[in-house]
Amino acid sequence: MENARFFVIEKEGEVLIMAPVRELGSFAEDEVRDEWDRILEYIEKNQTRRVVLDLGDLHYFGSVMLEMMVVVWKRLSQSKGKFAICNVSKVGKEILHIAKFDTIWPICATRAEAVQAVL
Amino acid sequence: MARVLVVDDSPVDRTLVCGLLKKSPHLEIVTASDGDEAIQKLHAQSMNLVVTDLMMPGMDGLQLVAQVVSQFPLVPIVLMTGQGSEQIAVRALQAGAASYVPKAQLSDLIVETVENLLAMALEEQTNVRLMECMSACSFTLENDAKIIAPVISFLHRFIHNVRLCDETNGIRVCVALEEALNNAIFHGNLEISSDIREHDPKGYRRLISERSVISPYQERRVFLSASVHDGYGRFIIRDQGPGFNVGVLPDPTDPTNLERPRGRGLLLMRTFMDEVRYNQSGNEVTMLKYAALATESRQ
Repeated sequence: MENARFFVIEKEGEVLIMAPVRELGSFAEDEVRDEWDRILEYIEKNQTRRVVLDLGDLHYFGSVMLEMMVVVWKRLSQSKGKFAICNVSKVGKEILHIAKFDTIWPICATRAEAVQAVL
Repeated sequence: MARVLVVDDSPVDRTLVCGLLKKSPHLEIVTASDGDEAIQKLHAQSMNLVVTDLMMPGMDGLQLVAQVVSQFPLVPIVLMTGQGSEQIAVRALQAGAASYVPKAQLSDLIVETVENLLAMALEEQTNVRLMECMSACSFTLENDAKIIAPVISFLHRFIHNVRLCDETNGIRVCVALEEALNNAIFHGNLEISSDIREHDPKGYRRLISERSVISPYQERRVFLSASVHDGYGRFIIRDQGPGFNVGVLPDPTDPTNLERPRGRGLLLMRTFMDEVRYNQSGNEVTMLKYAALATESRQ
């Protein structure tokens, strides 16, 4: 994806890997939103069904990131797709646990494990 | 008077550099003959800058750079490079050294390089010392999303400096503060619901843009105060919106609400702070973090 500043997007076979590379803050800034919209368009246009979110570069995240996860997950669910998260920080794991999101998605230690989980 | 540590295993070169630096009346010079002695002296008394040779027995200049960067991040390092050591100098710069001076040009460049770096470093060192004296701070914020990250970053440093809690708990506090600031700006002052963000992201952004420049939204401000006294941190965030009824928020962990966007921010605030209470109208939240509880053992 060209001109990406906030997310690095990679493909590993049929798995799309999204990796936020900096804290996204309130996610209300236009630049972040534009990039996010392009990712969602990409997922729809390419009928992506397997997505891994690699959070290795984020120390923490908040409710806005949780909401973004739900948006991706809902789109994937429509096509019976799969979603997994990996490389989550200690506080990040707490946040996923508090939101009970660790009950609905695999939270993997490594990217390789997450890719396996969505295949 | 700024204190400069000169590190070189060669007594001749050490004397030469000290002689050059002593031309500046603002510098007090301390010397060390290798990296280990340099680290000991940095621990023994505060230094404002380090000038070091690259090639030394024992801990060399490159290893010294790594140690100083990790243990004394506010102290800049100037390398003295001999012919043929350019590649190591590049590695040292990548590792965090501030500048380098070829030994062949010491007499022309060392004083000017040290004075320029000291001017920059002293300002930063003074700012950090001032931050360490701070026990309270307050902000009046416009409804600008771009301001949230810098404010949280400042508060992170504040929490660290006042030693309210360890690093992990500091991050937890920052998560709660960011949620509260988001709520105050977007839900409080601009009166925009999370539901809009979920169902119509573009409409959400459009609303933010529109309301940021029209009355009564644009005049509203967020007031944030942070203070640490008597073993706890108190954080108060107030917006100028109409407030909300905290009791009507759905439980976001109820399986039927897992996909809904409302209530997660408040849940994180309540989990990561020790006390969270709203005023009657719901436009001011007071959050407390107790220092005694804010350790790793909390888990």
